[in-house]
Amino acid sequence: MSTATRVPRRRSAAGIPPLRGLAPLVAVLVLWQLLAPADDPYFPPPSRWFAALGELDGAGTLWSPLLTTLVTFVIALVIATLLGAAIGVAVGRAPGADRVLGPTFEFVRTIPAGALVPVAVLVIGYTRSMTIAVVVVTSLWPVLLATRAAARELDVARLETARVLHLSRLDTFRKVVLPSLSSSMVLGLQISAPLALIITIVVEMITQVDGLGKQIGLAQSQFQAATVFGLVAVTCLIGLAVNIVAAALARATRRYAA
Amino acid sequence: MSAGVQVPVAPGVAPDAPPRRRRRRVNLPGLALVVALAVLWEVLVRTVLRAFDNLAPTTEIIRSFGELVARGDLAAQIGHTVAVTLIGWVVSTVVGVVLGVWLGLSGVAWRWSMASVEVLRSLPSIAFVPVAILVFGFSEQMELVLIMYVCLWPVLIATIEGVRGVGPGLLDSARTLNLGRLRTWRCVVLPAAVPRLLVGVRLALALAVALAVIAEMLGNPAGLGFGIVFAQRGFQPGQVFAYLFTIGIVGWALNALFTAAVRMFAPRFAGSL
Repeated sequence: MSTATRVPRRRSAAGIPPLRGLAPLVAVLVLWQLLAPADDPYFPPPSRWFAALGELDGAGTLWSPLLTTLVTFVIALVIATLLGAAIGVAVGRAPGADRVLGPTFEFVRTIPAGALVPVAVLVIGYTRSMTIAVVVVTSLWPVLLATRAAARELDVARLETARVLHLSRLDTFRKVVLPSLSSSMVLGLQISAPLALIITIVVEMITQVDGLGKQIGLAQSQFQAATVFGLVAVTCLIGLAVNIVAAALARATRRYAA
Repeated sequence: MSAGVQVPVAPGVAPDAPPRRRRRRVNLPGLALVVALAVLWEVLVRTVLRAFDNLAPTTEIIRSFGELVARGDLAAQIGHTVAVTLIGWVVSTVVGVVLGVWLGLSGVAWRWSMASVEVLRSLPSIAFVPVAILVFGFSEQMELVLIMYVCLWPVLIATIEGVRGVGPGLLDSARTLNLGRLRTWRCVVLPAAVPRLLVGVRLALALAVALAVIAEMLGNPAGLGFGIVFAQRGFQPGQVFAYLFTIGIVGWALNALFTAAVRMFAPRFAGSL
């Protein structure tokens, strides 16, 4: 190891940053707590956020909107993943269909989620199905594109092997196609999941359909800064949890596929 | 070259084909499907989907679009949304690249702040819309701040990864060639980082458009986002659909312009997009 000191410092792009890197974030929060007056109308200190959340809890308007949002998010994400993967495989295995659908996909994909909301409201109304529809349409793309790319490059040799082994169609799909596609699918899911969460909350904010987004919007329109910050903090925690779960899922799938 | 003529060809259709061929070949079956869908929609809305009062057939959408153009609303709204998007995006790109190069090159800075960056960038940015409205009111400033905040992360992360991803071999060569610090940066680090960087910058542009629209829908009463909400509240399905397509085209066009600009001014990096 004595030579290691002379070797130029390793620069790995994928290096995991050390935890001490959280210091600036923590410092900002601590300074915020110490310096901001408790009744600051714009930037209430973090301790006030928790007090505000406690008040919401007391009024019964914390956990039920939270649960509503989570359920909507999970349903939409599951539909988006299945639909995205199915379309991705179908299109990826059929170059003709791929080419015909290309421009349409390309355009629908670029429409921002927000712009779809008024259309969905006009067609479906202010309901949970409307939220789910918007979330599905906007967050299935990462899964679809990743699966399509993987399906296109599906190893021909492996498929031939399956044929030589006289695997049935189902077995070929289960033992050859699925493992080959699963890691790309989950890679797409890793992008789709946070997206779906964000869009669920946006739709709730814009349309005032029940959920966390509505609560944040209400608090904002009533100038309850502490409640807004508290709910934003909750949203951020959910976001972090979704990221962690998605990353763990991706690791598990890579192991399964390998 | 003929960068002015952009044909909506799916970039994934022929990933290995040289860009020139891809640009020239018009995807006729794809365009035919678009036209067929437009016709089908017209027929469906006028027959099967009649029960839905709030659907607009294709001709109605086109008529509403013409009306909006004639009233002058649309041009002004497009101008506002595009201007705000571009300003926020440019500012974020500059800040993101400068910060990113610093964090990417300085090991100390990276170790002492990267974890914070990772946490902040993974926070759902939309949640900050109400905070921005609270602090800045229903204003352009609010919209700009939001766009800048959202765009910063992809640029910053892409720059850091690009800079840190420069292979040790390249850096060793630079050292062997006795390149100074500045020349190592200019001739080795930056060119190696640009492909990653461009991907981040392009992602930021798409996010900027999306955020501008949402900020306008929720907070700043101007631009396309406000237009579409206004049309929806007034139960004008034709206008809502017209706005939807306008917003989609604006987002698509900005992306196409960016890609065309890269092809024109930095053709050797065009392959990374």
